[in-house]
Amino acid sequence: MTVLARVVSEPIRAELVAAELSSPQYGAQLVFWGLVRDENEGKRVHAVSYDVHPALAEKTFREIAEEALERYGRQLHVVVIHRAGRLAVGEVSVVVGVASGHRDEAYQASRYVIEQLKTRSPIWKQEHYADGDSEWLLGHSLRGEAQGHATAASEKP
Amino acid sequence: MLRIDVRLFGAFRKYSNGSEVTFEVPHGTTVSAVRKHLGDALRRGAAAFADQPLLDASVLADDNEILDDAQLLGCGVDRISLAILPPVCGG
Repeated sequence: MTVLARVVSEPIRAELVAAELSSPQYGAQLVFWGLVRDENEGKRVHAVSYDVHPALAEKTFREIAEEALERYGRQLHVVVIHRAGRLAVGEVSVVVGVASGHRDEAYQASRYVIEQLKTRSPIWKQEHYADGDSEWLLGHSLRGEAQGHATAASEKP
Repeated sequence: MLRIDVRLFGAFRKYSNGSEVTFEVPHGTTVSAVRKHLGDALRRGAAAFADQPLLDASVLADDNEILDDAQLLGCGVDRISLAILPPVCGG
């Protein structure tokens, strides 16, 4: 098993993710791509700025990935990469890649990692709108994280 | 006295200078009390802070972990660096 957890400021390249997940022992590769969309709650979005605490975010990614390995199989390979900085509509903000022997554990592990990432990782979004306004989005409080982990969210990216 | 630098993230960046707030507290002050001192420091900032619910929903952390409210700070040091983490929304 292995885990790759990164916060990056440059675009995430698909070929690098695929290469990271490639190995003869794996019969399944599943990659979730989270992208900046052009609308949120009726407002036209031009861009999103991602503010990140890099050290804590990468530590949280590793913890979540390790939990996925414990739950779904120590043989899994998990890749978690998140962008920081201002991203235009259509740019990739987050990648969760899972390689495994079979598809079932890959689907389960991928879903676990992205849902936990959204509720536990020290990352914040500021949306920039077509009318020139901008707004920091409301999120999940980390109060209680010092004693334990938050439950998975059902929110979609 | 213990000097504390608190880095601002997310919605806190619109207050003070947008990156960091510095203040002093007695050695052995709890994390919970430091949060109150942070609120006072933000209210004194150039961009005055008026969002107590945001502060109440936030946590203080060092570079390794989120700090428990009851934890005592400043044992054996005169200056520490923390971060205030508002509710998160990555992805």
